[in-house]
Amino acid sequence: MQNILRFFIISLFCLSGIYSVNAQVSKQKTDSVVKAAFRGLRLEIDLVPIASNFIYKGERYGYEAGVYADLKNKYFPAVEIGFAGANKTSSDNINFKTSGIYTRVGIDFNINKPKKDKIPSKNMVFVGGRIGFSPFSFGYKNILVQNEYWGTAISQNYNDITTSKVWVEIVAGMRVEVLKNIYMGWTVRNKKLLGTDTLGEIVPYYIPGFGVKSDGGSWGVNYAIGYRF
Amino acid sequence: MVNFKLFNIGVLLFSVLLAGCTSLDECREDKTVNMKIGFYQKTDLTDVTIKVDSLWVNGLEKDSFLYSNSKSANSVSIPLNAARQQSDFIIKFNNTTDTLSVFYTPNNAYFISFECGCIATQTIDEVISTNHFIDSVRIVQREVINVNAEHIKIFHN
Repeated sequence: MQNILRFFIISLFCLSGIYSVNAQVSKQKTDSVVKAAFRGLRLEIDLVPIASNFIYKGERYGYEAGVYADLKNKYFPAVEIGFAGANKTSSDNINFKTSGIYTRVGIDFNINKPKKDKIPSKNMVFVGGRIGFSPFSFGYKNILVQNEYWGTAISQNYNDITTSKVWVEIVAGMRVEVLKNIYMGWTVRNKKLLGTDTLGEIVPYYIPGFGVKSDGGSWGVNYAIGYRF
Repeated sequence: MVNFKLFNIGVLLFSVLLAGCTSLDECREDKTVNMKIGFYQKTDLTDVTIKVDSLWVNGLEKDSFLYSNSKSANSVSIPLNAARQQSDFIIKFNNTTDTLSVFYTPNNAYFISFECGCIATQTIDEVISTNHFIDSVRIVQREVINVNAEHIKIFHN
């Protein structure tokens, strides 16, 4: 009986010993997590293209995913990769078609500063920048050059013009942890195309990852769902 | 925290609305490409413009007039036939008629935009004419694009 009791007490001690060691290890872990520069990766997919693919009925389509590293819960280096295209016909019956991959690299800065003596919020509000690049091909069909007086019309097609474009973006947005490690949020982007076109040169109407080409730049919105590892 | 989430969802709805906006795809640019001819008095010194009291212009073998009985005209803007490399015009200055033949090389398509497509532009090679009212012809700008510039000077003696 005494032996049994002794065994029970010893094993209890041992167990508590193991527990305390465990507790120490986990404490060290949390400490190291807080102190380490690299604190995790967030993987995201963009939900806006899924909705806009449906809205545009194939006139524009795309898929986008991104990966973001967490450095000190302050800096978030970002890499985004996507595939986008357009197939649109103008009111003058000109058809434009393009598709291609694109990538953006850059960094987000979390401006949601943690309050003193509190656990840093997992939600973030950020501003950042990107450089975007897309190698793609495009084509125009049925460009009609008409001459009313002479009554002539020439139809022209330009197929498979390969080119690449580079642009810069200013981004801002927020992410909220909606469930454990699952984040949702939005990003708005103001994009500016780099480089100039020669007057009269055949230029794409739409650039994968950039959007519709216009003089004043382009706006973009992402609504992302992500998982943090 | 609740507001944070509400705001987040609001932006989702807004972004879907924004994605639904489509821009108008109508051409709003002037696609007219004309060759401009100015009328001048033949002098040894500077070129002096003249006004033609009554001017008629039509393409050769075309019934419709580009200019019909225009008063006090000192220039005309006329279209070249993009499907050919020569355009002929019959120009009636008051009661005197001349034929003007313009020879040109079509350039590569000049692209404007998705909405507007291309315009046909030409490079003028040579201009010849009969010499009833017209004394001589001089090419001053060979490139014919959608810019209002004078390409040819017609001199009257």
